[in-house]
Amino acid sequence: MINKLLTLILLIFGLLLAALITHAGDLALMALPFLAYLGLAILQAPSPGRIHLQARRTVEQDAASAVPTFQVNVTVINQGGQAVHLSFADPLQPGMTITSGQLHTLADLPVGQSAALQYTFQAGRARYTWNDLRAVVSDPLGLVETKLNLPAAAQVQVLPELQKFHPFPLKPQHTLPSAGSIPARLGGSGTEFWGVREYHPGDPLRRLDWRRTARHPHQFFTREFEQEQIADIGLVLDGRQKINLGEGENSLFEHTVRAAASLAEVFLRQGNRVSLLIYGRQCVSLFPGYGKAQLNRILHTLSQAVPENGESLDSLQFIPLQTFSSHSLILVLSPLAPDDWHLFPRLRAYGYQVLLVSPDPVDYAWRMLPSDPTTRLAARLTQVERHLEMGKITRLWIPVIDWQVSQPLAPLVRLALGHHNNLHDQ
Amino acid sequence: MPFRRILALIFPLAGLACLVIAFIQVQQWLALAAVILPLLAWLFSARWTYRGLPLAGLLLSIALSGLGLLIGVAPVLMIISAALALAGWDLLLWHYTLPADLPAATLSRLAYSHYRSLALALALGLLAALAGRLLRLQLPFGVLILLVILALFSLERLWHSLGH
Repeated sequence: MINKLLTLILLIFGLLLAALITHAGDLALMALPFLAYLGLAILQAPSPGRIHLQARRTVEQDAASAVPTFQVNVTVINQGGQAVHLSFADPLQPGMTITSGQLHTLADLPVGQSAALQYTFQAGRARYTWNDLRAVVSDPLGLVETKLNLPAAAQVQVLPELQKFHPFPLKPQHTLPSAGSIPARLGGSGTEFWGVREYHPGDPLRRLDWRRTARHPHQFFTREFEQEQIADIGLVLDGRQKINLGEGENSLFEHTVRAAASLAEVFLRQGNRVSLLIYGRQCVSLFPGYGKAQLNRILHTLSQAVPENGESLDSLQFIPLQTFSSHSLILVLSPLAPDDWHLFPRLRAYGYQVLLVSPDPVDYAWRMLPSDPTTRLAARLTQVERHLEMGKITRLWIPVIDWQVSQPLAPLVRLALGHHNNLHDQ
Repeated sequence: MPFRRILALIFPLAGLACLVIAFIQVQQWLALAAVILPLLAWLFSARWTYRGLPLAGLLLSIALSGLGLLIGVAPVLMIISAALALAGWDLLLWHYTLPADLPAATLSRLAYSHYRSLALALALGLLAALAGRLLRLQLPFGVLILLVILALFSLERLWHSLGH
């Protein structure tokens, strides 16, 4: 309302100046209603020292709604010594869609009374933080204002949507020496029969192979089972804006984030150790970890991932590989830009097992473009170029999933991992 | 159209009626024709929410009132017209700031305090202006100095309030 005040002051001075120039006293008298208006506003404006407002905020999730929906309630209580004319508002944060209520309200608050601001919003994957409430206390005419930031903090995090995949049959080249579900090609304690060896002192008696022992007097034999261990898996999420298409909840990046979250969940559920690297304007990495705590960390990190461009990290080949432990299985989730394939020889040279999940940007864009001959030709050419790029990666014995995001991902990953396992078995 | 908006339109239209009466009295047909401009500004501002329109209506109304004073039409009508334009401008801007789904109780409380303040300001202003026209005071120099100090104090207070 500063503009309103300024307009009024300019009008008053304009009228007085005109009165002076024209020697018309009635023009000066015409300014009197404006002066009275201004004077009354100043008199009724609450003195800043006597304003004492307290804000309280609660954010509740609507559990019945399929889409994450939150209700925000903000209550402001007048604890000062005078009534105040108040307007307060919350900012609209990126990703919020207001479904009911408004972000701004007005109230005339007597001493000890409270006013409330309520709104409901649907939220996309992100972290929503409120630190304070922006309030403006003014006179009833809205001329003289005092701006306040009332502390009313709250935070909500919307995690990426998870798809529950059935466990994948993993057969990595290297496993970690912890009990898990992946056959480790090592004799020891497990469930699958592995072989027979000579008895060593300390072997449990229930493992003795009595038949073989009976055939060889004075010698004892022990049955061995295949050890089942865990895998070390690294997820690389390509967060560069330049390869993202679309906006909002249906963007290519959102599909990639959901895929990363679902894959992390299934790998962690299988007992594996999983780490994450988001490669965008900067690298966000999560060190390897296990279990639900690590899943929480991954989901929280993914919830804040936004596609961004960074000049220094323009190409995938600058991925800091030291984030991943040696010989781990790395899943790269990227639509791939031209020349990104240079990363993959490097990964193979370092001894990593790699799987590329590449959301198909051509198919994604095709659905949004008009179906005219020029677009069809352009799409075909781009698709050929993309297949050539992916061919370079396939020749490195790296399984590539060319994922059209409208298709379910799990069967493709299962197929690719099965193919991968067969290659290693051979 | 909500009642508040109609009310906000009644004031400036009454002000324009004052202008029309005054210009007809002195047979200033050109000035009378010019009343169309603020009329359009006020009508459009009641129809569309655009903050520039009430301001245009206010400025045009004041300009015509000032012109009326200079060409010698009834000063009281001109002062009343300007005051009513001020009321219309204030009410329209206030109406623009109101959220759509404000509870009725809150709205009535806000409306009451706003209308009361506006009525008080207009009444005081018009009374002072009319008193100014009726009473011709010869103020001593000292009183004038005191009035200037009072004005400066008011401006300082205003500046202080703006600073906060």
